[in-house]
Amino acid sequence: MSIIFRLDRMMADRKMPLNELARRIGLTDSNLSILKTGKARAVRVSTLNALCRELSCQPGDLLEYVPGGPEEDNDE
Amino acid sequence: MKYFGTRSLSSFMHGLLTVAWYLAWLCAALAIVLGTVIVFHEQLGSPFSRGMAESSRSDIRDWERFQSLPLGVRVLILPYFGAVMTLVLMVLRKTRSLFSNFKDEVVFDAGNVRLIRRTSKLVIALAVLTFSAGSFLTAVILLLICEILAAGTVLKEEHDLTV
Repeated sequence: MSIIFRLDRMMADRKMPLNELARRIGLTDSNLSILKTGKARAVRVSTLNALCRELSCQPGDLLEYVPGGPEEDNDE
Repeated sequence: MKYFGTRSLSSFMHGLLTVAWYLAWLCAALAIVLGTVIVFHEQLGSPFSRGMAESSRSDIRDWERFQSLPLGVRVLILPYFGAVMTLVLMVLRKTRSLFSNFKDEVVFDAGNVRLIRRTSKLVIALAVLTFSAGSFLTAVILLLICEILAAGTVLKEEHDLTV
């Protein structure tokens, strides 16, 4: 994946456990885990909005673009 | 009407196919015995084979024509029976697995796509062996359904991984 979700880093910075964040933004633990482990294919704007609200950050703090990932090879 | 899950059409079909599966095995065993009797009737001197020939005039003609064939040719009926029965059993087995998944509410799944694709290929082989245009048409429709299910499976995966 070329886009890396930096949720684990933000959660560690804010000392926010996964289950607590999941409860606050109204997601299941397993769905938030999918996001945290980078298995997610898409993120809803509403989810991103809730994450930014609870972690007091910007969307750019959560997402990072790394060139040359395997996803880019598939796009060719 | 409920199509998937317990007490649904899929559940009923699964039960029906389980009965058909055991009946097909019984028919396969009977076909082997009957085929052997038909092919080796001269060697066996079976009264059953003589009785078959006495049923009607057209049957007698067919029977005599069949009897006039050399044993080597007559024996070919056995692998033919075997191939048809094997294909029927394989189709039943795969269809039963498919309805078992539907019964468990597993619908958009890569395993189901594989099952339907393999079943349609088996039905094509059966259609060729039995010269059945209806079976061929069924197999083509199955292949189309398989592609729709494959597209649905991809969409479901996308949906499941959208957070």
